[in-house]
Formats: sequence, C-alpha cells, structure tokens
Amino acid sequence: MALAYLRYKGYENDHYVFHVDTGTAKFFRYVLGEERLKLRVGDNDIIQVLSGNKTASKLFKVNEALHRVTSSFPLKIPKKVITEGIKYVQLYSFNDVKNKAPTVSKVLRLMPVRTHNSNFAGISLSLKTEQKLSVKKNNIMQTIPLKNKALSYGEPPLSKVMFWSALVGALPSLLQQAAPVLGSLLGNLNSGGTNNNTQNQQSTDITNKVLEVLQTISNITGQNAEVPTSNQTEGQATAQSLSRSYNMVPETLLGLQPILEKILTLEAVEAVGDNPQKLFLAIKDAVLSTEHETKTLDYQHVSKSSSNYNNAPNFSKAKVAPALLAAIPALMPVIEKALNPELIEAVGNQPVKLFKAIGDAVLKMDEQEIKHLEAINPGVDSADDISKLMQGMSISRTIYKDDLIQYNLVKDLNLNFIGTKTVFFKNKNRVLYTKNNQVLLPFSITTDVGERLNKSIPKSVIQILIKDAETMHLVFRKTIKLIDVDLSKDINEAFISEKESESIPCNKEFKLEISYIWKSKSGKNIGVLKNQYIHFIKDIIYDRIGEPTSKAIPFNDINIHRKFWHKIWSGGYSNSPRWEATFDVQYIMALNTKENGVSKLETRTMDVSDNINEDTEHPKRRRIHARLKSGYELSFEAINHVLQLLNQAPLDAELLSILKRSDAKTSFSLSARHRVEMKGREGDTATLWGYPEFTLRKLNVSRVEKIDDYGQVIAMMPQEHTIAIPETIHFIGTKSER
Amino acid sequence: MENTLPDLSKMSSTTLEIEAVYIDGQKILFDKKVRLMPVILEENKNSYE
Repeated sequence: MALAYLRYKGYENDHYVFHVDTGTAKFFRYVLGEERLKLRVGDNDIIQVLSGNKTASKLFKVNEALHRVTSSFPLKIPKKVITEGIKYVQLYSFNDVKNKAPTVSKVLRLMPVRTHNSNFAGISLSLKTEQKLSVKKNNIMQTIPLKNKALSYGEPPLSKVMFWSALVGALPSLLQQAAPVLGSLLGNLNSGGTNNNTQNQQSTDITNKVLEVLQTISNITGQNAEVPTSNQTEGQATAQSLSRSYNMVPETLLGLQPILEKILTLEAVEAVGDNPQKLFLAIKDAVLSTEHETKTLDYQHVSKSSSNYNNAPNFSKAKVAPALLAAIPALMPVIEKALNPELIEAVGNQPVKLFKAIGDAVLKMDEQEIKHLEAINPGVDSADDISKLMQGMSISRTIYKDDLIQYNLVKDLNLNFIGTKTVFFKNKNRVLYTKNNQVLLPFSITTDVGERLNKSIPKSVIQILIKDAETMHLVFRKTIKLIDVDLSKDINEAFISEKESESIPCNKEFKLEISYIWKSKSGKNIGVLKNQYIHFIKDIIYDRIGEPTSKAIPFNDINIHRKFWHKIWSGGYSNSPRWEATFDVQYIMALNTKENGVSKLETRTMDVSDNINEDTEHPKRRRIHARLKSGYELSFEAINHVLQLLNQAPLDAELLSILKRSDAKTSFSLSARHRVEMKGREGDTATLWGYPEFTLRKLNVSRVEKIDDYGQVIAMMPQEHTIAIPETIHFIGTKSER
Repeated sequence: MENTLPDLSKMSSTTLEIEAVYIDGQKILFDKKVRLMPVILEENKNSYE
C-alpha cells in the first residue's frame, strides 16, 4: 500500500531531517508552502493540501534495493530551501513517474525561529507530532498518584547565612578570649597550639590535614566561581555542596587547630573540616562533656600552660566564648530575627561588643520569651550574665548531666584510634563500618609527645557515644568497665556488637566519641576523648548523583505529561479597560520520601503594589505587581515512573529503600525564579503554566566489597545506575483571544 | 491532534504574536526556560517567605 508519512526529526549539517515512509510507492516529492486549505474528497473525506505561494521539489525515486527491506528512510531538505514565509511542508508519494495515484501526508507546521530583532533564523520542531499516542506511556502516567497540596516549603532566610558567616569570622578572636576556659582543650593558643613548643607528630599531622582541608576549600571555591549558570553539569554537585554549608574562613580553621588536635582524629578533620557547623558542634560537644576545670596528671611531668590563663580579671570575659560556642546553634533561630547582619559585620571582630549585641537581641524577643529569660537571670547587663543566659538556653546540656559520665579532661594525654582506615566515598576519604560484623575500636593513650605511660589503672571505663553529626542527638551509648588496664599497651576492649549496631541507621554520618575515664587521686572522674566521623553500611550505600547522561528531555506532551503540567496562576482583572500584571515567580521542586506520587503545590500570592484605589474610580490601566510562590513535589516512586517513560530501567525496591534513607533527596531540592509580565484588556484572562525538563544522570552507589578484622569497610565496589532529575522549568504564559 | 509543545523559549514575543500557538484555547505569550538551581529547603513554612 502506498503511504505518505512525514515526521520532523531534527537539524543536521545544514539540513532539516525528516522521517519518511512511502509504503509501496516508489516516487515522492515534498512541497513547501505558506498556506494550507482543506479539500473535500468524495462524500465524507477531507484532506489538507498546501496552497498559495508554494514550492515543490523535483520528483525523487526511492532506493529500490533498500526499499525492499524497509519503506522508511530519512529525507534531508537543505536549510537554504526553507526560507522566511514557509510555514508548512507536505509529502506526496506516487506509484510511477507520471505522478499516478498520489498519496499525501499530513501537513506539518514549521515553526520559524526568529531572533529578538525578528530576523528569520531557521525553523524549529513542528507542533504536529505524527507519533501515535503511546498507550504504554499513558498507562505509566495513569499509575502515578497525583495530589494537590498546600505549599509547605521555604528557603532559610539569607540573614542566617550572613549571621553565621560573621560569627565564624569572629571566632579566632573569640578563642583567644576563651583560652582560660578552653584550656582543657587547648594546649597553648599563643604558641601555635603545642605544649613546650614541641611540634610532636600528632600536631604535625593535624597541621598537614588542616592545610589539606584549606586547600580543598580554596579549590572548591575556585571551581564554584567558574561554574557557568546556564550550562551546569559536573559543577552542579560542587555548587550543591557549597550551597548547603556555609563557607569556612581559612583563618578560623587555623585558629581552631589546637582544639582539633585534642578532640578529633585526622580522618575526622578531613571529614568535617570544611563544614563549620559540624566542626563547631563537635567543639561544643567536647566543651559540654568535659566541662569543669582543667586537670593535669599529678604523676606525670607536664608542660605549663600560659600563666595568664588563670588571671582573675579575664575570667568573666573568658567564660563567654565557650558558652557562645555552646549556644550558637541553639540560639541561631532566635538571634537572627533580631540582629541586623550589617551590625554583626561591624562588631564581628570585637567579641565583647558582639556578645553585648547578642544579649540585646535576646532581650528583644517577645514578651513570653523575655519573661522566661528574666526568670532565669533578671537584669542582664554584663558579658558574664550573657554567658549564664546562654548556658541557660543551651538545651542539650541536660542530656549530658543526666545520662552520661561527666569527667574532666586530662589535657596532657591523648587518646589515639588504632588501625583506622579510610575509603574514598562521597568525594572524601571516610571511615566506614559494616553492620554485618562486630566493630572493634582499639585505641592507645599517649602523652602529648607521643610516649606511652608506664602506668596501670585499677578501675576505668570506656564510654562509646554515637551522635547524629548534624544534630548531636545521641543514637547509641555504651559503657565498658575495665580492671587493671596497662596504659603502656593498646586498649582493645572497645567494641560494638553486630546486634548493637542494628539500632544505628545506615547511610548517615555520625560522630563516634570514645572516652576513656578513670578516677583521680582526689576521687574525681578524669579522662581523655577523641571523635571520629563515621558511616555505618550494610550492603549498599548511596554515594552521589553524578554527571548527566542525556540531554534535557522536555515533558511537553500535553496529554502524556499532563500530571507534570502545573497551572501556576490563572485569572484576569475587571473594571479597568486595560491591565498589566508583573509577577516575581519562585517555583520550588522538592522530593517527599514519605509519599509515592506527585503533588502540585498551591500557589501563594503576595501583593507588592496595586494602583487600584477603592475610594475612587478604577484606574484606566490597572497595574499589579505581586510575588507568586508555587512548586511541585516528586517522590522516588514517581522518579521511577519517569525513568520508565524515558525507556530506562526503574530502580529496584532495595535501591529505592536505600535512597529514601539517604540524603539523595537534597539533590531534588531545587528552585527557579523568574519575572513574568502579562497584560490584557478588561475581560481577558491569562494563565501561567509550568512544565519541567528532565535529565538522566548517573546514580552512583557503592557495594561493600571487603571488610577488615575491625569491622571497617576497606574496599567498596562502585555501581552505576540511572536516575532522572528535573533540570529546567518552562514558564508558559497564555492569554485568551477576543 | 497536536499534543507536543515545541520549545518556544528561543522565540521572541513578536514571533509568537505572528506565529500563534495555543494551549487550552489560549494564545501563548511567552515560553521562558529557567534552570532549577539547588537550594536548601525547609518544610512547614507558613508565611510567604
């Protein structure tokens, strides 16, 4: 049977390429035209043909050899043939050279592309799609549950970032002020962080690690500056990670080095060194769990700290810094409401003024909060009082007092993890433990210069704490009582059994804190601690969403992709002959791990200006300026359906479950902002639509391959899957016609 | 039946005025393609911002 099938495929080497099928017909030609008309054929049939100013190609003959195999083939029309004014193309096929038995294709509409000065710049895809509606795709779409939901997402206010950055910048000077109280953690700030001016191996290692982290920070910052906004590919992951944490000031990290040396392992410095929030949480945690005065071992010769540390006049000021460190995360939400970022910037390098400003801000809270604060500490007017105030607000302190062993840190000793190994995971070398085996945590106790102690401790306790790295919530606690421990040897008694690790979530970063505690001669608890940042893994762990493997795929089929089309705003304005609306649109794309469908989120409107005056006549030209905020919520199950729509293998249930418990959802926290303008006459209505384009990207996960005798993962097998991620959003404005 | 909307983001409003394309009976005024950028999202926000 003769056919005349024509479909636009794309542009290639100065030719517009079409897909043609002529069936049994062996001759064909194409016709380009500016107009089309309908012709009645027989009693009931109507066909469309081109008319007016039209151009027909010469008569072509199909390649008979190939035609016996398949009747379809590509047709290439030179770019120069399709000139301005050509709107349609049609295919004619014939059985013989005399144009016998013509068959005509559907008329394809060509969309001319014009530059902004209206110059003709070629054609774009035809609006006509000759592909049959895919029943399969429609069926896939039918299975995606769709909801309409209230908008419940927002971005944290900018001031929080600015506030945090200012405080981070001020921290080196805060730490100088805080030296007496932080003495238990610090060796000697003024001498560069080592006691006796001895640069022992541990200090050197920490210094090197800090420098490494600084190098990484500067590299990331440099890369980020070069990331183009319009063609972001591999740089996106970097930009994402930067957007989620606040920048670390290099001076701050160097200033913190003496503290890091005491409380964090080398691996932990690498894991969280570029994340001030986690770093200061770790410091705060150490301050709180090892509060009280500094201890030195009475049987061991130790270096003396700076004599100024115990000077009474400095005490009130000195108390402030650790309290501030402890309280910053808890105070952040309330302080940021009251403090002007410029003010913080101005006083940021003067700690006492900064504390005063924070104190004032705290006192500007609402009445209920003030009453509560007054009950804690009325008449706050000094730095010392603010310190108490902040300590009172530090909610996490109660956890430590009630449940955990309190002890004073022995500043001259170090706890060292033994046999720690790292594997490259999530762009860093990290410490990973398996949940399928017992985890052993051997450590040693040494002096600051790395010497073992010839000392036996009759009774001692190992305290193992595992806390959420983001919130410091305790997720696991264990104490192991020991008798007659020889400090000259390794201590191998710390462990977490396979059963105990069951309660610890997988694929999440935790702070592992090991403390070794014993009684001093005066009967008080003393000890040492060290923190490690770790992940627990069972079999597979989510790593990252990597580079794109496809171009952006528009979800532009109004029928098939209907559930992804979002009517963001619709309306018009009456009582004025003309109206003009300007909308600043923010469109949020989020992912909900608790749902299995998609949700169109409501649009919230906030008027910025409107020239209507209710008391007088409506203006002749109504002008409205408003902010629109709307969005769309995906789920991993919906992403699976998207993958099927794009002819990709869906993710299996195990992988979906792992993704839901990982931080992969943050890659779907996206936002687009754009200003749109619409105008019309009285009675006109307009609509703002949105639809996404998805990109296929590599989904990198890792499977545990090798575990050592300590339960540490020492080799991972990377695996690649494919996932779909929304990349862009089309804002389409439409208006009714008169 | 016309189902697939072409990418009209490269076309000026003048072009769209001349070469009218319709969605749900309404004429398209503009098609702006905007890249979705990674952000930190917080849930349970009641106010506009």
